[in-house]
Amino acid sequence: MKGISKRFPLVTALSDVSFSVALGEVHALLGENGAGKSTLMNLLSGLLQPDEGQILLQEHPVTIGSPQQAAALGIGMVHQHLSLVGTLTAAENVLLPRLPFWISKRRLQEEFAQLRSRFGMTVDGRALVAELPLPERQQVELLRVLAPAPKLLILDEPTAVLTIEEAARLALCLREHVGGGGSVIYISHKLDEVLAVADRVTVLRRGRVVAAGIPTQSLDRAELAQQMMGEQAALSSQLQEERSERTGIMTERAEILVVENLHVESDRHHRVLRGVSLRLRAGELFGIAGMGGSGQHELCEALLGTRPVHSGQIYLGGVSIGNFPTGKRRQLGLGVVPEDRLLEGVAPHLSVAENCCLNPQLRPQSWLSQSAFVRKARTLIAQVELPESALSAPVWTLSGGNMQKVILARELAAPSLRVLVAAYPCRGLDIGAIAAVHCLLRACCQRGIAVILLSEDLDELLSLSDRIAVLVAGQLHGECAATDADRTTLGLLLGGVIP
Amino acid sequence: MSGLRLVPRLVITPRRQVLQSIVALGLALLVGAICLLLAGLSPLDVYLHIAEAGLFSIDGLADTAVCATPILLCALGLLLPFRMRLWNIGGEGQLLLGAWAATGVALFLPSWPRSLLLLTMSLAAMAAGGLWGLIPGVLRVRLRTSEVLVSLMLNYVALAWLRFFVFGRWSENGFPLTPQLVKSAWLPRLLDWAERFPILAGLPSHAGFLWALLLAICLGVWLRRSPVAFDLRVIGDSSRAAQTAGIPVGARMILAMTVSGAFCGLAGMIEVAGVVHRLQDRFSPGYGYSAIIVVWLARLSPSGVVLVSILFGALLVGSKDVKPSGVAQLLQGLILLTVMASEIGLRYRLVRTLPKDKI
Repeated sequence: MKGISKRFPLVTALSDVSFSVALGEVHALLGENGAGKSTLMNLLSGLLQPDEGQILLQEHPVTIGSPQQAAALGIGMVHQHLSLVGTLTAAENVLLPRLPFWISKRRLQEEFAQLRSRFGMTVDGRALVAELPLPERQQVELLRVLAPAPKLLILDEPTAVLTIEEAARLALCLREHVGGGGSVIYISHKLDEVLAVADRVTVLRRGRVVAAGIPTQSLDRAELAQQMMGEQAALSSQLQEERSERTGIMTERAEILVVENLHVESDRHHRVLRGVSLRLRAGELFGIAGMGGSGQHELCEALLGTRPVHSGQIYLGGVSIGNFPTGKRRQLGLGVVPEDRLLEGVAPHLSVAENCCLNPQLRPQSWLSQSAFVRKARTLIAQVELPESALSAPVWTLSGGNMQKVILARELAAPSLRVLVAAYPCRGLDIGAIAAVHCLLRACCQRGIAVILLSEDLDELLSLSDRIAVLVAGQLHGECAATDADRTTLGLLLGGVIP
Repeated sequence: MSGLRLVPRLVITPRRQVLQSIVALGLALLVGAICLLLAGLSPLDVYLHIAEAGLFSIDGLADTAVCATPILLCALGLLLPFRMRLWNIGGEGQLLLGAWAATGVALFLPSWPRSLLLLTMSLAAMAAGGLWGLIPGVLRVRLRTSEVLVSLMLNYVALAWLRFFVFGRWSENGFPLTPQLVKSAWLPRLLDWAERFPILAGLPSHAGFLWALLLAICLGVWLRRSPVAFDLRVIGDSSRAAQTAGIPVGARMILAMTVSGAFCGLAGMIEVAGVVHRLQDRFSPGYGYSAIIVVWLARLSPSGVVLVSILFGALLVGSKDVKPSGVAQLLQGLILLTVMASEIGLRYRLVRTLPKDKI
């Protein structure tokens, strides 16, 4: 791939990226979330088209218009989110694209077993995919992509759901594929794994290549982590002064939110939070870093009360709220900026004015009228500099940034707000909106509200937070004051290396 | 390749909703006309007859009001859960059970004064219907069962329950009906005043229609003004957002299903006290099912429900003496189909696509 650029509205996902894979090698593509790894691979697998640049396959320029074309060219991709048919068996899923019109069940299973043993997998071909646990589903997906014997295999975060032994088996399977003359592109953010599996590494950061095709023998983990995180942005002296002043005040403040030894299970009854403890003082901003899927989602839900707590305690202002319904927690002063704005944050077809009242502390209690909604909402949206004409528009017609402003305005307007949980509040926003959100979060802290900020952007966390910790595999690690944070340590933690 | 493509509409205005309902109605009449032609009838004659017999005569209007009442009450009830995308298909069973409870009250307390007796019958009917709505609601919230299946199957349970009493316990001389209820359990009718106003002779309209209209107005105001109704709207639009906002989604769902059942139960009581004056097998020609179609055609609006219920009542009355029978059911079924199909027209618009290489 040569000089590839890809722009989306508002963001440039890739700018002038060149990347090459040799025959018979495993090439890892490393980077933070949002670095452009997935975009680059989607270009290669035909899901997206580059705005600039060329894709060369064995030195011939090619256009890849669709995943079908990619498959015809010998490129197969295993996506992060598996794409299997749950109501069919594993064998049917694997051989589905290549089934003749008529095949006996026995023949099907035989063919499947053959394929399975070639790549050293263990999954039962007769089991329904919907009933398989996630790691085995991944095996099915992998076999499905490997079945037509692609020349180039792309794996997007393949080990996110695998245990260590399973990951090791996957590595063997990849060696087998490479040994047969194939090539592999391996997308990951786990450093150890990359070092173990890959021959060479390319690191992407914010849509640019920062390290191209470095052989893994000559690398060490700390160096890799640093490349992934980038250079430390110098904090303005003013901000630093303000920060140290705040730290002084902070220790005198009362603890407002205390979480003790919190255990929470996922929908599939996996334990995703294993003993999370944290303490927040009034006006403090606590930043939680970590790659998505390490328990962030479940932490937010458990705090909000939309997911049951397995064990552990949550205290808000000294009151144990672990068993309270969401409405009561919010009455007590818990606010939330949900991860998925459109799905959880707003009722998309209701007006902006009505959405401004989607908070138990703001909802008019007596008879409602459209004018009551508008009256309440008018002051709210003036604070976040939205035009009044937006009030009667359905909320989904707003841009992401403006939608986020509506949500923030609504949460901040609750009179008893004491703790705000902000999950990825800047995700997908343009620079102007990000600045506005940051400004609102800071104002929040000045009002004495404690904020938990979850983010994948380390720079954002380091510039906003008072304290910072990394959520890895359901536990908080490396908690420290943001001013003392060491980027290499954080980078290693983000890469899943737990000291 | 040039062709046609469906593109989602950005905004769905109320005007378009009304327009779409009218188009659906017209389409149903058109397909119905083809069926009638195939059956050897003149569609124009049949439609004119239905309109005349159902709407454009005093007798017809009086009958239409009688027929529209249970449909209107059930439709008002179904409107609540439908607005939250909770599909109560059990209106018929809730109606039957309401009728059963009202009959029971009237059979065992015949000596009570009229107003008290009618009130007790209404309350009993609403409680019984409400219970029948509560069950699928609770099961949905607690065990995540499908409210469609549970409420639909409870219809058959209610029917069997009703038959058990009509054929056995409460049967009059072995016929599948109960003895006639005492006069104090009857709703006042227009023909009751025929002695003083001869023009009212033979008009069967009863007070239930006025009750239903009154309830429609109350419900309309409540839906606009009540904070709880606001919750229902939020849940209907996005139950995840409602949950995040702290709205007790489960409790609201159960509430909507229960109130829905209570409305349908009341419809059963009014049918017993206003029309049949006893409980009998097959006294409802499927009002609870017709109500589903009515709510869809009215696009979940209370005022629309009133209008469409009256039209449906007229359809039932007017097609009573059209041979072969079943024209009303045919048209109802067609209307449901066209209304469902018109959802596509409501949400999408057709756009001509350009050949791909020209883009």
